[in-house]
Amino acid sequence: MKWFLSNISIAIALLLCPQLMTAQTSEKNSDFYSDFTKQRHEKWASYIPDTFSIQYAGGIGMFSAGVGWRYGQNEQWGTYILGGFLPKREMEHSHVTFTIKQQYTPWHIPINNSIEIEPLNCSFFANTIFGEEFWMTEPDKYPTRYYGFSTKLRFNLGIGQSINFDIIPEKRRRSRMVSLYYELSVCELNIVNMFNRYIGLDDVVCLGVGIRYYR
Amino acid sequence: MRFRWFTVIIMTVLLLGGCDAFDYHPYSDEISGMTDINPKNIAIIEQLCKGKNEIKFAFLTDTQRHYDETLDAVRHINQRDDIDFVVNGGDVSDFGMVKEFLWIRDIMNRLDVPYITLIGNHDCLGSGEHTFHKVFGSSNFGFMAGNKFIMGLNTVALEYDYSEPVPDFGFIRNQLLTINEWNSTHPEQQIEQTVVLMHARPYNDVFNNNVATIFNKFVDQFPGLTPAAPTFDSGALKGSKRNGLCINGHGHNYHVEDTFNNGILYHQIPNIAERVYMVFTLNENGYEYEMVSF
Repeated sequence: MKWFLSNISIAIALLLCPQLMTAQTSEKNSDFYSDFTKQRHEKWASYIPDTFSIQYAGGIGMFSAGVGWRYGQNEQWGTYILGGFLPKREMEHSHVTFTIKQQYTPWHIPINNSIEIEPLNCSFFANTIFGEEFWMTEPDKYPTRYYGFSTKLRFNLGIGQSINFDIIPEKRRRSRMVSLYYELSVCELNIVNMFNRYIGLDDVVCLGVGIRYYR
Repeated sequence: MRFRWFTVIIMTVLLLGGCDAFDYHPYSDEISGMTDINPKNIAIIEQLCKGKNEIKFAFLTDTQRHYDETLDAVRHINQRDDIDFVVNGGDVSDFGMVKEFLWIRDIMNRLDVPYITLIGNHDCLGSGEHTFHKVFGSSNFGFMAGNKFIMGLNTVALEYDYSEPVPDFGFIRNQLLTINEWNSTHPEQQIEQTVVLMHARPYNDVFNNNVATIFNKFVDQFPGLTPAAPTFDSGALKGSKRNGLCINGHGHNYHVEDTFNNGILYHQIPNIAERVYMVFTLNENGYEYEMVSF
């Protein structure tokens, strides 16, 4: 058993600290280290966000801003995280919100060399609002499943469109492309509210507009 | 080309800016339109009922997500001309979202007569309590309708964690002092009858049941609610002058009980989804009530 444990720990140490191994062999083979470092940088570089966006309204705050990643063969997927701010206005306090959004873009239609249209963006996003009056699960004071929902967490479905403007290479400063988008969304509680004749989709739909910079 | 696209976008944004679909958050939408409705309508009711000895009001409750039924009730009430005012018994909204309050407000605003709104436990969810206060005003109120006194109370203690007194005995005591002062200075127009309106009645799951008997001790000092031999007969539609009247919602079915065995009856009104509202007539003989299906 002891023998087994010591072997395992050595193996884990070797796996976790490849630098130790490379350090020992650096004089003999310095290329291994530089290759490894290069690979590691490339690997982590792929996680650098591709986009930075600022959004107005859209059910996730008055203004929200955050970063995102576009991926897939045709950049059809997008994942965005956004922090939002709700000013005091009609509320008792101002609030901070956090949103994670998954987007699917089936088509990219080029208009000319520099303009491209995304005619449909389908999105699903979850939003949480911070503040003591909002709870994720019902506080203990309530009988079990008294309300049966969370006031803190909203799930939303949205559709929208965007128009992307390529920036010509000579004029690029911080981004290669600028995108303007809008999104119509509805949260799950308002979908529940629609189960009658009086409230229609136009009453519950929520509009947001934004600008997105591509790295 | 680029300039033209830019123009199109600017035009679109301006057009979209004209519509009010830009929502910031379900719990922080803009409160547009009428606010502070209870005080405004109470002033109208007091004016309209001045000098009257018979007061007739409709009570509908738990309008949460039942927009069609509420609208039908409003239309049904508008068809009759004998109602002085309408009471919405609370749980205006289901999730406490701003828009839910405004939808029900806009439906209730179609009434030809003034209405008042009580706070329900669902109205306290999220930022709902704050929205309720903005749209409807204080959740405790008392006013004179003719020579009757109508008192609306916040009784949904479960939502408050002792942050506010619910029910607010200080408020109730002040109302009692006001009535006593009125009765001592206006011998020609005495307040002889009181109706207490609340969302949840004593011994309900959201009431602060530790003070249920104390609540009764406060309530039974009001004119028309002082203890008398209970004469209630479930088959009779007429209460006697000495039978006190308290009305509540929350239970979603019709239920009447003499909770404290002192002749004060608590009428629990069915929710609006049952397509029912109740009409109470306060007159010199006490009160009469009828259940109206629509």
